[in-house]
Amino acid sequence: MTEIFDLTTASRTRPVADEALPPIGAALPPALENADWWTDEMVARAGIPMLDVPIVSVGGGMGSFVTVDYLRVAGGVPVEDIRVLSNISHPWQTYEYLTRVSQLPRNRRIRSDSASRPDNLWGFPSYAIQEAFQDKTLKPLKQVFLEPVFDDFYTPLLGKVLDSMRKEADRIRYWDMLVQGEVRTVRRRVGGGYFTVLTPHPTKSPTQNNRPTGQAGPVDRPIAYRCRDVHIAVGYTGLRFLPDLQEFRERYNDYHHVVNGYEDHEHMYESLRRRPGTVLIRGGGIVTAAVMQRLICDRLNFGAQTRILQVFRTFFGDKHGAHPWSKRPGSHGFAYQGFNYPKSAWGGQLRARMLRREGEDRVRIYDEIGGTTTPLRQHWQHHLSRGRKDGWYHAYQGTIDNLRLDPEGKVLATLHNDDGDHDLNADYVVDCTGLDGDVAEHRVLGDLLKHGGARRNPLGRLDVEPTFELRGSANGPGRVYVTGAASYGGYFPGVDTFLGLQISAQEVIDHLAHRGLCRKMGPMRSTIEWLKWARGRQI
Amino acid sequence: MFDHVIGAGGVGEQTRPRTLSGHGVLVRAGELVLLCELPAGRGRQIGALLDTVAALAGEHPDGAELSNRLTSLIDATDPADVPSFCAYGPAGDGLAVVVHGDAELVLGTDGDETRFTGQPGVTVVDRVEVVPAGPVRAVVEGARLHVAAPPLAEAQPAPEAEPATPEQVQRIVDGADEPEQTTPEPTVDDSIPADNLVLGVYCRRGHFNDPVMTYCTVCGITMAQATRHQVLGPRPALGVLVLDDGAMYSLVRDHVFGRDPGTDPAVAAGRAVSVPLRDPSVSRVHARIVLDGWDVRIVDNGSTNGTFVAMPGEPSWTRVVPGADVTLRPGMMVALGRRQLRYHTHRAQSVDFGTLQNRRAQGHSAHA
Repeated sequence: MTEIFDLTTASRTRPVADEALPPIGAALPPALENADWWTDEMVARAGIPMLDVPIVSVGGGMGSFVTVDYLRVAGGVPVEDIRVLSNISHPWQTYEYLTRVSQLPRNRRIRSDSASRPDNLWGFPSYAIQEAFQDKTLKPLKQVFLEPVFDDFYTPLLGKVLDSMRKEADRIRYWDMLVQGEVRTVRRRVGGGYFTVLTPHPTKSPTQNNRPTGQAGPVDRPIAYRCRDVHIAVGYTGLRFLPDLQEFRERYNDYHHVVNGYEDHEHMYESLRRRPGTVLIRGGGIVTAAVMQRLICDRLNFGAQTRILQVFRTFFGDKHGAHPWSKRPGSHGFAYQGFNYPKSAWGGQLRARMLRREGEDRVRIYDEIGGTTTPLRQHWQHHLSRGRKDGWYHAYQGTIDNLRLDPEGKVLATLHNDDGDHDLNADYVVDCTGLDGDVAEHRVLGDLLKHGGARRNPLGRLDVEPTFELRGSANGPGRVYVTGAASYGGYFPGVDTFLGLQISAQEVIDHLAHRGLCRKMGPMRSTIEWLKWARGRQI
Repeated sequence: MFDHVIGAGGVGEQTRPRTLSGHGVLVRAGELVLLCELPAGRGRQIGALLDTVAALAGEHPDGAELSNRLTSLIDATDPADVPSFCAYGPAGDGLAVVVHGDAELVLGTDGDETRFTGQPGVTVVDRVEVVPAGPVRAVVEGARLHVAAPPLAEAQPAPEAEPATPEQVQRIVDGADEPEQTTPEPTVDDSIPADNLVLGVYCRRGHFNDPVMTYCTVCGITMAQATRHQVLGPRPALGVLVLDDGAMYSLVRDHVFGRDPGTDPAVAAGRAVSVPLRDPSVSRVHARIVLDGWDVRIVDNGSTNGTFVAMPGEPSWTRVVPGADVTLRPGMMVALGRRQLRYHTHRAQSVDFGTLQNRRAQGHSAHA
């Protein structure tokens, strides 16, 4: 078979593709690339224009949004003094994608507490109150009152969470602070502060004031933001694709038989609605639960005859935990917990204990509270029980590997457990194994480890103070703050949750206020700011 | 997987390389020819080789310069990382040749043969007189295939061998286990990867991706930190088509739908997968799914009852104008008579995906 590829076509399509997603640009000059410290002269000599902004937030996702919200509302920092450097167009873009593909569309409830509001510093009114008010029903309030003993935890609808964030972004003039582009590096500046180098996306900068003076037209070359403080919240490095999945894809050029829960796999549900099949699910967390719920809904709504095989690496048959007084419920393989972390992680004894621990002691507590969990939700537990009885749901303990296609186009996987090895046969395999948080794999974080004086914490992420200041990176009056997933393993667990991002932001703002760089919010101003929030008044 | 490549061709503007069998890439840009193996995990190096040929063809199509640039490329990296290849192009009244690795190039010179091998090092010849021009036979990692390969003069012309355009890149990927032949199979095995060359980007771990990706489709790492430098590379599967009976078709090559799609020349030539739909409302050759770069397009073949598209939630179907094409968006439904199918792709990673696809489509139309 011969296929023809015309060079003249290739030369035409290249600039079009460039326009869709711009090149990040050539490497920095060696004099800059290899230097831990940069002077203004070095940057000027490289022909990189400089912009002065006191604070930049690198990332532009939920972590940046929450911190900037605190800076604007609690810290009273003006729009002109903040820039958010981001490769995404709105803070919830990545979050919305990941929830959507992992079977949590806007009309479904996320795994988050009622009062954890990224758009609201006070957590009041909570999502439950808002929902009760908007939908004119007492059901959410009743659920909050009865949870978790007599009812499941109340959790908010994704659509309402995102809508309220958009409203708050408008209110704090987030879009005036946003500069879209690829952040390449954060380097310490001789004399204090930092340079944050960004290659802007052409035509995407929403405001003209992001451009250096005198520069017209789309910006397509690096800009160095000369800033006093840098906040970094870049999230996870990527999706965790297990080696088996990678090997399968490279071997067969097949992206639809073995999929990750965090990528679009709608084809699987589409096909299974129309013909019977078997799905092998690997994992026991919240994404697994969402995928199974979707399969069960398709069975109920469309009559899909799908057989589900689930493999737990660690199978929990009952309550479990390190101490008799701290047991986590479990059954049929699942470990149950309402939210990602125990409630005591936010402000109770667990948080206090963690603050006092260092090194291996801290790792031990993380081990105790860690592990894959899922909320105990009555409705799909009922259907799983039915599935066990009717034979369309089977759970296994063990690990699987050696994924391969059989001659009929089905996937064979070898299951290893105490009973030995045997093959499982399925139409699809879904890996629900989470996200990848290796900081060295991230361009900016890896660069900070190499050139910025940063080091790793006992769990391998970035080592931060209780104030979320990045240890080893202070430079004169300047500080680097790291919040979100990259700071996991520090003195405060739960950093990669809505409430965790808010608590992290509080610590950062308090530290900035302590340094005299922003206002401290007392009771009177807090009340005034809340009233502005309630009235939707732009600040 | 990609362990054998064989190609053959003649010298001169009026002749074009023809493929025999094996796995690999055959590039012809003007009179510059490069034949390269396709080892797994060497996409970046292959892309660099192809880029070199493509760039030179546009500015200075000289065989000696081709040799210089390719040897520089080998020198600039670990030679063991560069896939085996052989390349040649006109130099004065002869040919310049470069052969690297487990490759062999045989030039027919007036009834005789001159043989160049890439072992143990790189063989570079600035000019070989080939007057009158004779057949050229090139083998990369394919001793078994080489033995069985007929001389060029005996090879049957491939059915799809239209007159050569001044500049073209031609690539071949055939199954290694298939018998040597020049006539393609009438039907195509889905498991054989069709990897047209497309412009894409590599993730930090060296996997080739659609430039709009947020995460690498092979390893999952974020693409935000990739260099975004676009190079030619082998196109992976673009997604799947799910038929209304649950059957699924992997988009590794074009597809032809109809009551009797086997009569379509593209199917007969092995360039497209045949999908018979046994329904009287469907025409004999109803519509084609065409892979164009990273886009998937539907083309109505002048069907009686028409081809329609709609996104979920749209109130009505939109008819595809016969002969024109519509770029499919993730989740888009297609109606062919009373039958329906739906396009899904693992590449639908970003909420901006549709927008980017549209921008790319608009740009493509503007340049076409």
